[in-house]
Amino acid sequence: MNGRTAARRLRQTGAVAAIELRRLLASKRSASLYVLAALPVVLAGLIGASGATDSAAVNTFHKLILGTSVFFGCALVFTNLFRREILEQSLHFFLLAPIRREALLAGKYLAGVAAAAMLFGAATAIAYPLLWLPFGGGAPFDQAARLGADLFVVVLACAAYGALFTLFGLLFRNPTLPVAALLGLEVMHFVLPPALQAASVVHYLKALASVPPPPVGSLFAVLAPVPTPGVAVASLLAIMALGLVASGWRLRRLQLAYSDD
Amino acid sequence: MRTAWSASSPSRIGYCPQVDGFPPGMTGRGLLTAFLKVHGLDAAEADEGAATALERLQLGSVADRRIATYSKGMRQRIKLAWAISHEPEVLILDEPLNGLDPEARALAMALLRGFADAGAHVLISTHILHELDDAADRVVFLDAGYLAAAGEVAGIRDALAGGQAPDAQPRQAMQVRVRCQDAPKLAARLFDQDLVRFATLEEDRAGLLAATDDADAFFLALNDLVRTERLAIEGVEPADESVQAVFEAVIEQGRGA
Repeated sequence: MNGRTAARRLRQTGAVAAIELRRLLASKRSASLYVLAALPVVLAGLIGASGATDSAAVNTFHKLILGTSVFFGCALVFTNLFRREILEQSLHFFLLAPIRREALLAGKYLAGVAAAAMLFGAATAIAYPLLWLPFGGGAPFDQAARLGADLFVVVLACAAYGALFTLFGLLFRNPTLPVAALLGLEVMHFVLPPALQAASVVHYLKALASVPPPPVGSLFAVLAPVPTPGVAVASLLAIMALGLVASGWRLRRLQLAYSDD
Repeated sequence: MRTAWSASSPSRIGYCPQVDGFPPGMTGRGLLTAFLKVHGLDAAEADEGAATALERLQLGSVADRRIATYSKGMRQRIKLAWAISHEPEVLILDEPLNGLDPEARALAMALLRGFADAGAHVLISTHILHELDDAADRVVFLDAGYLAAAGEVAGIRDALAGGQAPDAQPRQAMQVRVRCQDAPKLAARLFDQDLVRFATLEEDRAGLLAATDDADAFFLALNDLVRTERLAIEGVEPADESVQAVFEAVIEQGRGA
């Protein structure tokens, strides 16, 4: 591939990303995303106002932001990257352009990650001060470092969940069931054998968070070794790569038949 | 290795689908500009290509309105603008004149004719066959998913009339439209001479559509009737030269075979 071709592909990917970003953030359907992003902010405000503790901040991040907003927000964004366009009968605009399907996938996926990371990152950045204000939260430098680490976790979560949900959207006409199955794995991962825990995204996210969530007090909980940050990041990137490669394979074979959908 | 269908092939193809779906929230100009960039054009080229296509379809005044607010005819025209915006060599159009008013139809047909004259291939799929009367160089008739006939309209009609129908179809009658003040009398005389298979009076009873198996004998008899019965004939024209008529003849013959 020469320089001109590379520049052209980059331009095409950017054009797809621009269209997708606009659709994700500035259409009527974006409202549900904004609601999901606002949810932890509003709840953090309420918790902060009623006297927050540091454990409340930790729970807000792990359960509200990662477990609810990011998970469901990514499900909404990424399962619909292609599925929504098939239902709206507008995917042919992309498929009939002289663009490689991989570049199309890259453009849409990057736009999804950018939109999700922007919204849920902003939600995290606003929610934390609301929780810290009542009890001080330590030195400003510590607060900033903690927020920075957790923002990094949000971005990685969007990237990993995004790749999986993109694949679900391409493989299934109704991706609700696979999303529910993944939700079950994420919520109940602590009762699974260590090898299966390693297949969940949250297993690695927990290891990277500034403060890990408190251990679950359950008889059935199985203690799995906590991965090092390097292993956690590499594993999340591997999940992302796996999801994207499989999505690319599926997208290359995708044929449009609007009437069937 | 370059295959017949490569990733760059679509740049040579313009497509106007029948479906009316558009990415939400886009204006006409935004749609064309954005997707010309997806084609690989830079911003300036995309802006220029979009402006030219919008102008050709006379959509300049509504280019910056959201497509969701467009009328059916405008949506059809923006689809056509999208199909031609990258100057394709092959245009594939599915029911391209749906929802267009007569003026817009004429504009669209002139545009497509211009593309064809410039050397592009224009493939139109339609159920409204009279749209193609003056436009189609070649037609392909499909019946229940099967090829019924293909070729130039005149060639198919001649083959039907001469008993050498496409795909060896049997002989088919010719249809003639005659404008005559005393059409019922003319119909009666033609039936007397057993020269027509059927004849239908037009609504104003000043014309009839007749089907004959022997065109030469029919026209000779018509001349005789004008002379002997003093019938005032205002016009005679073949009624099966239109694409619709030829299609009906092909289908009728195919089903009768």
